[in-house]
Amino acid sequence: MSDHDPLKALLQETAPPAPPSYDLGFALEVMKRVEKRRLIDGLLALSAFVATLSAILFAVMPYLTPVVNDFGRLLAPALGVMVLIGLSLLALEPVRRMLRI
Amino acid sequence: MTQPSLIQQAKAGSDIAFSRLVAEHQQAVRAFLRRLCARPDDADDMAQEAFLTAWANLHRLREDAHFRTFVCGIAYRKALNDRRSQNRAIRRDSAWSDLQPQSASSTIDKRVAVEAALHTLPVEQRAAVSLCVAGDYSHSEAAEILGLPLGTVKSHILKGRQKLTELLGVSS
Repeated sequence: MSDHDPLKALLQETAPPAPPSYDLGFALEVMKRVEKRRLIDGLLALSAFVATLSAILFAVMPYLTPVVNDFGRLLAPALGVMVLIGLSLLALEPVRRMLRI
Repeated sequence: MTQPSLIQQAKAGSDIAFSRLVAEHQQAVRAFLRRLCARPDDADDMAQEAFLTAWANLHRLREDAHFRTFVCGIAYRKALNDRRSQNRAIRRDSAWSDLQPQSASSTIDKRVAVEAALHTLPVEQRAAVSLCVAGDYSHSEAAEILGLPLGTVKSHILKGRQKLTELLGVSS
């Protein structure tokens, strides 16, 4: 359209007050909404993950519990021996230093 | 920093780049929405929502597309969805305006007349006229924003111009 367009001139003359070309408040408000959305998205994703995990565990636990118990019973003596060895080594270290072995 | 590089950084998750895009384009988006909405506050709120939606959909922004066109398109669709409540607000405002003593200022009278004339147009025509006649957008940019074929946009502009010319008594 040419510059001598009366309708264009009238529309521009009566345009609603123009927003400022630089508006920090507006940009801040947008970024605040972005942060809020990000937080909500994160919480939703976390909730979905927790719900899924709970559902899976709920379904699997009756089968998993005996296995875990058996495994625990099998592992308990070995763990006990390992803890004992570890503690002995820790306790023996100062003695070894004193005796300069 | 150029716009494509800002867009690329924003897509990669940079909040600084996105806030710079907001700062650069907020005026155009808000001005466009102020033509479509009944109240400037509504327009600004919708503009913020439009930028938020743009942030969430940045991955859909094509490499060759302009950010302003992308956000204005989102803003237009929001304005369309919000049209029903806007119409209620306009009816309420005009009822209130009828109760007020008439202003002596001819500029305000003109503004009211133009606003009223614009609101008689279907929203697609109003948007097309706001972009291409009142604003500085090209027809192809308007087509992209409104999600309409170029021919349809030209037709909306022509019809809108004719109706406004008649209503406002402007020489064509």
